[in-house]
Amino acid sequence: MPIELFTTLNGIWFLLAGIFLVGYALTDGFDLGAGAIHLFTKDEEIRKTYMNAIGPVWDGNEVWLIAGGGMLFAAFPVVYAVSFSAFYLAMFLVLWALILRAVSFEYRNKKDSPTWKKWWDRAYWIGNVVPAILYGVAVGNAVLGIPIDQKGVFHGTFFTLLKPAAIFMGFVALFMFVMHGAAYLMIKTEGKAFDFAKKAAIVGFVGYVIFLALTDFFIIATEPKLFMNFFKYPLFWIAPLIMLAGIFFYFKWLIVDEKYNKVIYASSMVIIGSVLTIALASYPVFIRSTIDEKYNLTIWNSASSHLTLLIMLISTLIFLPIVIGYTIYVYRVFKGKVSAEGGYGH
Amino acid sequence: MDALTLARWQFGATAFFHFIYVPLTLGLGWLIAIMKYKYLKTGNKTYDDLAMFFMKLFAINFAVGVATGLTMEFEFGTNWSEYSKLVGDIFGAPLALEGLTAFFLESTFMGIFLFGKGRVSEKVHTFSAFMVAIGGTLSALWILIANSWQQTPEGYKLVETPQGIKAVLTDFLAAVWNHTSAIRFLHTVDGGLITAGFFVMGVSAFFLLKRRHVNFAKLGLKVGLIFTAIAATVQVIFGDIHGWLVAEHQPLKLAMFEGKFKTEKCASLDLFGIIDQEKHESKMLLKIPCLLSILSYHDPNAPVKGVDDLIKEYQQKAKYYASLIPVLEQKLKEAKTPEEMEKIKEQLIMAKVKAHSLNISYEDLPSIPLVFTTFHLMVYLGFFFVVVVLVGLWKLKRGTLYSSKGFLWLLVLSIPLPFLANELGWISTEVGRQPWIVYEILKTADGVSPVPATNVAISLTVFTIIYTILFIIYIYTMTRAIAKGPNIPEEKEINAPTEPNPSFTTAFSSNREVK
Repeated sequence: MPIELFTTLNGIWFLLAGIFLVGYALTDGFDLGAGAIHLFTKDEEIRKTYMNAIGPVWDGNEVWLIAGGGMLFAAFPVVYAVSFSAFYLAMFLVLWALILRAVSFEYRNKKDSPTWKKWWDRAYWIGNVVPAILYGVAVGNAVLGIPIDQKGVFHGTFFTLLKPAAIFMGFVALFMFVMHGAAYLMIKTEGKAFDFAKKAAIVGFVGYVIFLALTDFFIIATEPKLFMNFFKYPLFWIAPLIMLAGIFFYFKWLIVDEKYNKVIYASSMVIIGSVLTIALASYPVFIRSTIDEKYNLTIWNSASSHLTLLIMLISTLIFLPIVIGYTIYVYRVFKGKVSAEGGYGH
Repeated sequence: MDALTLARWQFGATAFFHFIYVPLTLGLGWLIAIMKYKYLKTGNKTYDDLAMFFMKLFAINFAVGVATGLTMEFEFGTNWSEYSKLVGDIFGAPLALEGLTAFFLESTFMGIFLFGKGRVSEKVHTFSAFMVAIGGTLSALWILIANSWQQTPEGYKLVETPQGIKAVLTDFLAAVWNHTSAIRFLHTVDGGLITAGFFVMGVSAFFLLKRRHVNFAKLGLKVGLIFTAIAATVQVIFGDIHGWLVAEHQPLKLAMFEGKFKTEKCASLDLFGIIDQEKHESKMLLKIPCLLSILSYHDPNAPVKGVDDLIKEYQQKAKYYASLIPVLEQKLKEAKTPEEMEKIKEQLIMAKVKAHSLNISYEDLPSIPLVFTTFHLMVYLGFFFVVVVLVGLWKLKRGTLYSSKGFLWLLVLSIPLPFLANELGWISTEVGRQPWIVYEILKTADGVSPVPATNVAISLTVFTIIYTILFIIYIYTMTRAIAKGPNIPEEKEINAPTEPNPSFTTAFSSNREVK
């Protein structure tokens, strides 16, 4: 393993950026997954139950994205500036989708009219599916490379981002979140809502495995150099191994052992493994330039000053544990099954 | 239109829209926390009813605020990427700290606050209310620190990198605690407190006028009035200090605030006026002699510089820095020690940056009538709020507050005014900062992303559509929630028996009615 990952501020911040990416996928990931299956059941009771399961926590979960964006801005401003301006329309699609999701939660149940609810349900679904897919597409493009020059100016259009491998990675992300969301719902619900979540978990699992295989196949065929890091630093194999273990246990606990409360640990492993695999494959590059290797944005040429990195590291070490502490407290408060009835059952 | 103009419109419009909701969130969070606290202390159930009712309105407002706030963070990257590259080393940190210390706190405890009633003890519920309020206030602190750094940058140095010249942090505390962050924070948060105070007073007055939930509304009005009375009076002092700091650090902005083209000694404060920017003329009504000099510099004889003279001054400074460049380049060649070279290099970069950024012309200025009018209207509204609360306090003392219909109607109709004042203040300070994005260092035009104008036009159009729909739905759900009133039965209002687990509906869940 490259020692500078732990001995330099730039390396540590690369890991921290990965932690925020994983943090977002682990927390908001199950919200997105639960939202993505929303339209596939016509049952109002199930829909409401699912929304109630997400209700108290999605807002805090979304903050992982906001905080992650802020962290990226502070630690690697060039990466932040280039990725957001290069992915201009894609970024705004994510944003509009997240706005739709936020207000759907708030407004869907404000009126007892089927038409009102029908439209908010659609808005809610789009608000979950679009960020889920684009999460994968964005990561895919960063790793596969985009046409940026020495000043970080993007020479392409929205359609430059729609490479097959990147789109496959979008679906990997979507099904990964469905797996995770279904795992969460199996813990939080019972009865027919539980049965539907179980079905969704199987669909998510199958979809994930298929698209993961397709993506790997595509990358091996077209961009084999992306696997170089794993041969250079054998310890990096930890990440794909976590992912594979996650896949194994997801199948084992869901299908073989029927230990439904445990499935979420497996989906968490899948997420941690998948995200880290991509991050480590790309190390030390954040965004690859398809124009010239030397325009790659790396942890060295796009980072903030030593002082800023140090101050942010100290703040993160102080505040992140506190955040995780009260987040766990909130999940404890809302432990237990939910129903479709106002707020929480029993 | 070019990408720059479109990007400025988009940022202005989305920030304007976001700032409709933020002040109410800021202030109402504290009011609700205070109501919960009073309930814990006094055991008076009406305080809890008030808190739970306003919590529902708070939640509606909060949702739009969060959703539209996300836009702001995205736009620094999407539309102002050059700006983000140049100052990200300094500007990114407060945004990251906002997420880390404020948003997590606010959003996580919001979950307990909205859904936790009955699941957690009243103490924890009250504690959550305070955490939500503190989270909102911390977020205001960080974002205003970032904004103040744009207005009065400190604690940085300029360095040359392969990607261009960048501002790099040298002193974190100086950058954070720059000349204007403290007062900007106090002034803005107080604006939020006033907004929430008027909101609570107006809604309570509405119930009193409709003779619904009378005891509930009386208490709401009283709490709102006392709260606003303090906030509105203190704001006069904050406003004065803020104006004084603008005079010291941003004289060009002050000249635009006051519509002064020519430098005046013993400058008058002009209350109303028409400004002709093309002719460099302003026709003013009601001039109070020397007051502007007194307010700005606390000295009646202090000269207040006019726009025309300031532009000339900036151009002279730019020429001076431009003339320094060849001298410094020569010196750099002759420099012997590396320390000396380093020092001259730093001066050279500064000279290059200043020669460009200070070279502004009259045409670069924003609309002066806009800055003048928005600033003056905000100040008048601020004084109007003071008058209203003073009248209210007097009526409270005489015991006629709850029965004077005219005054109650005034309160109802005043609900939108603080919202307006917030926006006016925001427009005047941000437009008044032009033509710079970082004062006297970076021109706004140099901060824009190299994104095609069509893309910006598309996003601006979609934002306009989404935000218009959002606003209509917001007003609709807000008024519906207010019209529905609190979840307390009308007849049992006085000495209502306390139920073990009071039935309530949360903002997110079903709206089952209490019959």
